[in-house]
Amino acid sequence: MINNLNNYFDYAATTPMHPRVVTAMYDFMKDDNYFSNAQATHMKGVEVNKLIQQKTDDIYNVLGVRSHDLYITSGATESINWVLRSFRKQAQEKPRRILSSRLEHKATTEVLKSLNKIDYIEYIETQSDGATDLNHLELLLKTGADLVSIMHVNNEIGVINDIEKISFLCKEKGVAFHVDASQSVGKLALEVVFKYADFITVSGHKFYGPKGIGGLFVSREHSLTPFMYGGGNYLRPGTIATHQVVGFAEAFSLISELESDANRIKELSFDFREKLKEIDGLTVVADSLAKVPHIMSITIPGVQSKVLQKVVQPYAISLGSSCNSTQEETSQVLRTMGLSDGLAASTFRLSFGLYTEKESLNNFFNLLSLESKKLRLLSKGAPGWCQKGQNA
Amino acid sequence: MLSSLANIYFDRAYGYSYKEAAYESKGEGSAENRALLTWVKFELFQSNHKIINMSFHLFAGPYTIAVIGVLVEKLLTGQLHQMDNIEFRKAVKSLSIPRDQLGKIIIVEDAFFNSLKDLKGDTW
Repeated sequence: MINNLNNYFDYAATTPMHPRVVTAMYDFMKDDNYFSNAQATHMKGVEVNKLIQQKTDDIYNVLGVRSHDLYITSGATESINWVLRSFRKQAQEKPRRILSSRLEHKATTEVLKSLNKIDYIEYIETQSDGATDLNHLELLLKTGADLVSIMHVNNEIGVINDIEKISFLCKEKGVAFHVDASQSVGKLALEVVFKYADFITVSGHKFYGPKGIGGLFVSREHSLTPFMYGGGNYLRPGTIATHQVVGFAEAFSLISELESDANRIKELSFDFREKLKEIDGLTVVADSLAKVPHIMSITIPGVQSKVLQKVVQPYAISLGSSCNSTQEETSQVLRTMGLSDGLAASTFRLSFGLYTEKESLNNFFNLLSLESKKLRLLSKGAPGWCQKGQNA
Repeated sequence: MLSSLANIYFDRAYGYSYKEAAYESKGEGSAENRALLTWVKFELFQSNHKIINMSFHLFAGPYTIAVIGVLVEKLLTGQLHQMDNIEFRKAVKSLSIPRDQLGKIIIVEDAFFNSLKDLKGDTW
């Protein structure tokens, strides 16, 4: 394994490119036969276009997809923007009703905020374990909707949404269903998602592919209007980043390898959670069985996660989910899960992947245990809002 | 830059908080700003009108720790009568703290002067 990746515990933010992806992209880039624009009509362009088609077919085959078309985008953010902004049940300009959750990634919630003036945006309530409340969704759907947008796996707390049941409720009312599957590719089987969702967002860099490329799978029962305008492909204009497509397809070919590694990560994560019980007062946010094992948000009251991040270097742990470092803004996900600002500031996220090993996790645990004790001593006697949270 | 600086100052500040020495009197004071999620408490120890030790507790981010690190370095062994004129912003200028984080200095300043007030009340 690659040694300098053993200290990396932020796989939910991004993953390193797999050596096979790097090799495939490098071989492609140095091949003089494939530099041409895939939309050019000359021989070289046609060859590149053929290769892109072949790579797209490879992705369809790996996923067993027959009912959706794949559109290449620059990443999950673009895919989500495209669906949320462009999808209409009918070709009318009347305001739409979109249902989503407050636990979604900012790529969804920020788009919905921007649409709030022209469309009706409503948020489905969340259960105590972080999953979408299906009873509330059913209630909201009774009065009709155009689109429901839910993530498969939450990027901060790892909770898994029941795609089949949500889809059933949507289909019953003829409502289109978008799933943000950015965090689930390579971790969970996607058959259910492709069987039931109308739009599916994926992102290359979340499963060992290159950054700057993602995809939107669109069911053949639905259509989208263009989100951007320009040359080339009518629906998603712009020159295709061919080398990225090659890397993206190669990353998809890793899926079976990644899914078999998931069991190893599950065991690692289980052992690590057992050890975490030794740290006084530590809690795992929304700890339940309906979660992916590789993502966990951890709260240690009285220990500022910003400071903890500095003292546990070189281990890479994430605060991005719990607070925006420049704006000091509490994560909406943590707030929705009932954490006060004080507790959210004491929360950090760990996420594991292909290069996470038991030894590095054990070493990290020892350091975490020691430093959190020291930091707690510093905040000894701190006011209640620091220790237990502002609202406690 | 912050990362390495914060680490250096964290170690320094953290180290001082555990220093023990004989003292004549002690003063303590704290300040907080919930919106900035910052709480600082100082304990000043004096002997022969000099600060011979400082300890602190805090709930704060790396900038605040860095500020305390510089402060402890500048004030330790200083004469009590010189403390009232300390210009905090000048003292921590070398840290290049971003404008939006400057509010944290005021909290450290308030906590320090509250503890100084307490110490002087005890001393004089």
